Amino acid sequence: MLKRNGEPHDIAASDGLNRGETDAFNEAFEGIQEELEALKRITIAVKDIAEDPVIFTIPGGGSESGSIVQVGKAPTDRWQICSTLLKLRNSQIVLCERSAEGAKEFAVIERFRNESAYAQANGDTEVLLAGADPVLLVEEYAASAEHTLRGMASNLVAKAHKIVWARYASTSPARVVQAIAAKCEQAASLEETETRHHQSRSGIAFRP
Amino acid sequence: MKRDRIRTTENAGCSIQQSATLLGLDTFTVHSLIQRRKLSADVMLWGELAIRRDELQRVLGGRATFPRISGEEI
Repeated sequence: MLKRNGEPHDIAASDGLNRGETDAFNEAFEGIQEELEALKRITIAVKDIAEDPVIFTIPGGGSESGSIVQVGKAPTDRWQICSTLLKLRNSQIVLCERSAEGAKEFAVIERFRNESAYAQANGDTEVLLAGADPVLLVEEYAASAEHTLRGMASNLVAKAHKIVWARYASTSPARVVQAIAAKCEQAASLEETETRHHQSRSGIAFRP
Repeated sequence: MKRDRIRTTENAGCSIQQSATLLGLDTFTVHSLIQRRKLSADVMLWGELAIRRDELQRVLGGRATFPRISGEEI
């Protein structure tokens, strides 16, 4: 439990949950908090992509624009970065282009940190999507990322459910899980992020 | 009243967060790999996803080691 001045820090204090439910909520929330914060950060970035995909197709987006990405070992698998779509802790997703036989091709490529175990076994780049229309590709990537965010949110709810069930036999988990699910769904929703932006700017704390 | 920790087959697999740490990826990327069917996951009790050790071994070309993370065996 988080402590502030020696007192428990009730994350769920104002949601109409009773004391036992609040304790259960807080413990479950702590168990997923780190991943929930990551989910919120990525949702905000994906919302930017979904709202204005065209801007991401203009070369010059990001400090690595113009850099070359080599996918595999074939010389034809060289791509030039147009813009960065998403920066994660251990990888980044970039929109790239190349010319082949007079026609331009585009691809959404994920670049992993060289030292990661996954990159060492599978290579440090992976083509996620490829096609001739960069706007469609960016839109398609945003839709796929939104789907991934929903999967993350759903998994966090399941994880929270498991924590509540394992720890608190006397607490009916339904209302607690419902409160956690509402937070996770909000975190993964592209529609809700604007409200969160305003709340965080104005210093208003979130309550379930 | 607290229940004992759940003892189920969940202990046979790694959570998404543990798998991400092992692979050196973000949890977002692990979910993305699962959705693109490059990594297979099992649905455990309550619907939480878990990735079996042999699946992690496969994706790492047999080079995976399974350290203890946050005191939990994975």
